[in-house]
Amino acid sequence: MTIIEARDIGFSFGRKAVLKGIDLDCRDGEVLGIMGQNGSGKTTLLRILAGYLQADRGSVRYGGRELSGMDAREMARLRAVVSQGVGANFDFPVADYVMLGRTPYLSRFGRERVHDYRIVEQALGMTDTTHLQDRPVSRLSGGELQRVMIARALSQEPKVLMLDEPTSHLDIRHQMEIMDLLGDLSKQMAVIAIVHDLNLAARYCGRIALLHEGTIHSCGPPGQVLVPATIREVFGVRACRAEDPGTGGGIFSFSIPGPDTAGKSRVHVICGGGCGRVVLHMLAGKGYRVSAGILNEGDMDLEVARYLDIPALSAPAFSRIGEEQARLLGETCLEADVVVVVAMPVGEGNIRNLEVAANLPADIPVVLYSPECTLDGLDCINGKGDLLYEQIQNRGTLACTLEELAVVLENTGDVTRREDTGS
Amino acid sequence: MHTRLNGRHVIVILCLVLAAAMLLGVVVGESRISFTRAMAIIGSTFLPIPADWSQSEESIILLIRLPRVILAALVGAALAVCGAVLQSLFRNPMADPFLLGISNGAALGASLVLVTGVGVGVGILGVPLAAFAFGLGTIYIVYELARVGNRVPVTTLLLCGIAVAAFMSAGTSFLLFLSGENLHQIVFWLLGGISGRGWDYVLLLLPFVIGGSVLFFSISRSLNALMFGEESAQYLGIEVESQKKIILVAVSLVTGAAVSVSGIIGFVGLITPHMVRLWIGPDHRILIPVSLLFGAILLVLADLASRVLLAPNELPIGIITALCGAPFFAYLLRRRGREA
Repeated sequence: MTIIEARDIGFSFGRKAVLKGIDLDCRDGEVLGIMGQNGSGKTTLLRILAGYLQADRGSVRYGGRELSGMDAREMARLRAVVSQGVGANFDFPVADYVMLGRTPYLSRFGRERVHDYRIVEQALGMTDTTHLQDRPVSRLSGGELQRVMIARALSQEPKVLMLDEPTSHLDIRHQMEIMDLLGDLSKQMAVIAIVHDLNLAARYCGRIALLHEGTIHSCGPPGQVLVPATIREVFGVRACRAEDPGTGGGIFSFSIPGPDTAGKSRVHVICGGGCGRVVLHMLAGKGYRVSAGILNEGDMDLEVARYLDIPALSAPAFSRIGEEQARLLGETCLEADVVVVVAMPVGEGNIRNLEVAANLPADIPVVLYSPECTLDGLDCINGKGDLLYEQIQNRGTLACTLEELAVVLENTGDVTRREDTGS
Repeated sequence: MHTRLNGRHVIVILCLVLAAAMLLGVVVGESRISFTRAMAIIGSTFLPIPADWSQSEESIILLIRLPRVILAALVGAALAVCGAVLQSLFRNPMADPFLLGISNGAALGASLVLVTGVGVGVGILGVPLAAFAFGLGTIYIVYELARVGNRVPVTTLLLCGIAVAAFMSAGTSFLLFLSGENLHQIVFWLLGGISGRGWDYVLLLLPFVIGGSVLFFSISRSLNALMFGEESAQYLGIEVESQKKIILVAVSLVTGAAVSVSGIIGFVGLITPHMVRLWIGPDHRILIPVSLLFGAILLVLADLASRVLLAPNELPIGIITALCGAPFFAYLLRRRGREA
């Protein structure tokens, strides 16, 4: 059931428009993650949804009722907010602190009833903080304080629980415990949380609303929202998704893209058998426009290429590379500025890769990368491989370390670009 | 923390202590009047007790000492309660009416009347009226200076308070410089004193202290919530902005009343709530009544000391509170620092 409907929310700080027309629904029974870069207006949006800030335009409705028509007390019975970093200068005991959550239900001079104490007890129990109830809030650890703040919010008996970065400053175990707790709580209420950690959000949020430049870039299940292209656009990082062996879900690793990807040269990498992994990582990290292949399905290098979002020519598993694929490889190499051949064991299956490389036109620079600095013992088909390696080495450059390869590519790239501008 | 003291017991005990301190204040003085005789004189106001004392003894007890002691209690209560409320509002255990400039504003108003003699026509009301007006005016200026849109962030409020307070106190110094023959009177008043104030001052201050205390006690739950920040209090269902206005106006009225009666008496507003908090915890539903009683007791005793220490001369009470308060405060801070 939809609890909060926000429509066309606009908000400006002075002349700076922070939110430009946000539509967002928040439903029962889910953890809705709000994500976005620093300064993208996440906290502002949360404060507007919570009724603390008044939007310049648009409306926020709770169960069909306009938020702006409610007083503070009424709002406090509908939603509870756990803000960031509550400075507790005073030694207020945890139990009394959690009891503050009953404020919207108590009259001016009225005393707390048995019912209120029972609710506080439940809130402490749900957040696993019962043992802390006599401690002053000013002497709790970060994880304990976060739980106690959630307990206070729960004692408001809210329909919506809102949290601003509930896991910031917490160690990994406490982060996961808090997110687990939010998942449990979402069975009884709607939960909206600003989350920074993409992996945490991907794992624990039912839906994610991604804020970008004042609008909702996309909103939906993590699998749809958190995709490498979107992450790159919104957060400005390259994201590589891999399967998490623990959960079967996805996990991301991130890298900062090179400064001028657009001007970088195209590099085609011929590799296989896992020998090309480090090269692919290095080139992707430096922002080259990389392609790879031909690689057999199941080859570790192919998985790495896919992980790195590198287009790769592929052949079926355990099969020889055919005529047609070799032709494709030739065309790809012609489009590249540089071809890198990684020294790898060569047999009947992949010999075509070397044949194509050896027979490329002379104006295509070829670099042979051999981390062992030797080409001995790679040939598994009586001399044919050695011969091809020798041809490639004679027409190209040999690099024995990654640094060397990087330098060679840097220079080759420069030469290519100079030629481009010269013609 | 199950050892925390029962609030009601504490309040009953403090009431008894306050009564004892006030009796002591009435009995002790330059002219020796025995305890029983003093009691009889007081009792005779509502009981038919045959008078075996002189007219002057009766005047000393009923017209000089009794109003003075009550006044000390009221001023102490007023300052302590205002301090407790402001410390919660500003989430700062160092806040008190002086930090916001209220006291200095009120003092400037009062000095203006004393120096220029404006408002002589309204009699004893001249000084308090000016003190109120300037206290309220000061808090209005501070509030407007600190306002950003329709919110008033606490940090800016405190900084503006300090700036305006400095300006007000410079104004008072300037008046002192110009004052000539009134200098001694103003200086003595500024240093804080309640000597020579009669029942009319008691009647002047009483409604403010009672009204203020009832108001502050009635919003003690809001004050508890405000300790954890304005945003957080708003989320708990408290209309923070209107609550804040009410608190600031009420505090400046009560402080203005106290300052106009007694001048600037420092440290009571700062130290009393602080001590009480260390003792019974920060819950305002107990903190406010206990601070009120504790402040009253402290000032009654300080007044007694001011009369006794250099007898027959009298010290300004503000000197006593600062001399005792400042080192004690430093001690509390050190101890707190070690525990944390």
